[in-house]
Amino acid sequence: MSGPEIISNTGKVIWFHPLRAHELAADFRTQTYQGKPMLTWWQGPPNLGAVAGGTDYIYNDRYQQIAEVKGGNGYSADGQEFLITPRNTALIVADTIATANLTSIGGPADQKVVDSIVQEIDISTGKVVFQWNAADHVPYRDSEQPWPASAATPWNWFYINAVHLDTDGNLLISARYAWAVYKVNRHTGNIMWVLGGKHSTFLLRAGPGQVLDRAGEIFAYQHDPEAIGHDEYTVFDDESGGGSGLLPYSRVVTVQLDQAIKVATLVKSVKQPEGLLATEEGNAQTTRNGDLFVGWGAVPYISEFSPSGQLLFSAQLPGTDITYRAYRLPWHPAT
Amino acid sequence: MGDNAVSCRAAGSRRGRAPRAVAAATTAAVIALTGTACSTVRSGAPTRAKAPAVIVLKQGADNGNGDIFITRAGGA
Repeated sequence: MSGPEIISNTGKVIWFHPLRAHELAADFRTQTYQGKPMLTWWQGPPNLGAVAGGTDYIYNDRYQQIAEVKGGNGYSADGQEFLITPRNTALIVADTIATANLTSIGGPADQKVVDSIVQEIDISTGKVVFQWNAADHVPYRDSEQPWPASAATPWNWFYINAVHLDTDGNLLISARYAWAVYKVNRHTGNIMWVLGGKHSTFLLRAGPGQVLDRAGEIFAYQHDPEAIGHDEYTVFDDESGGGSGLLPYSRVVTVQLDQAIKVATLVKSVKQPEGLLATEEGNAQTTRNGDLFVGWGAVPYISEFSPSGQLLFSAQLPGTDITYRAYRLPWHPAT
Repeated sequence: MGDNAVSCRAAGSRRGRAPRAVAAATTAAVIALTGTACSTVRSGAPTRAKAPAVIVLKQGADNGNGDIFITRAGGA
């Protein structure tokens, strides 16, 4: 049974919200809305990243629903992101099917494609205040994903799986199938820089004791880019899209950007403790004391590491359960 | 929310009281809270909703960073 769930440090269930059969929840955490702590999550059909998406929910500290967020302009939230901003807006991801002419890159003239869209929604009104369609800004040739054998099969060429705020308020967008993170101006939609992929703004380097993957990338098939300040970012590095990996294990990388000389350096990484490879999902959260809390996505483990990389906490989900993301956050429900 | 879903909290958790939202948000009634599971009645058809705990392999991070938030789902 799926559902958002709060668990104690000893592994015991504190709160669980079971869903109906054939429903899925994702991205469950605490966030601040209108100055108050809330529980938030996405709920919808059992396929994350699907065109037919679901709804995002906001519950107060009495476990009462106070708001819900849906996609606008005919799109629906696909479950991969539900981030409330300091402006009380929500950043979500949606998807749509379009037709693209790929003849310039050797593909069909009428290839069905999945275009990924970021929307910022005013939570109180439901109005779309910002929209960014990857196809309007990134060429299809930047995809690392081969197109399908049939033009009628939608090609998921970009696949946005996260949209976060950089320290300056602009957007960080993760494109799993471009192996790249895009920094996007939140007002104009213009791309400010690209980290990784075929047209990286930065030369990629491995710092002492670190390794790039087999493709020379710092990350691939990644999720959850997080700005941690001073031009440093953490990224959950799946390193596999379903087949054999570009590394034999997944990891979380810390990247230092030098904007002056356009160099990105892999300065730190923590490997999946069991040496496993997550073929999808995953996230990494820097906690308030500087630890790194990791949900290993398709690999059913969650971990916490000290700033020096020491494994402090490790847990396994029972059976075949996995979690899209995992967070460790303070939560003080009303009494 | 899923209208026939009932939120519940494990008995004996350090959170203390049951959430007031349970009764208000659904027509179901929480009939039991035992261990790490919660039981619910929905539309006259009793359904047991069990939320298993995670298996802690290494425990050394009780450092005030808070509780753990996940969305369990059956994996491949």
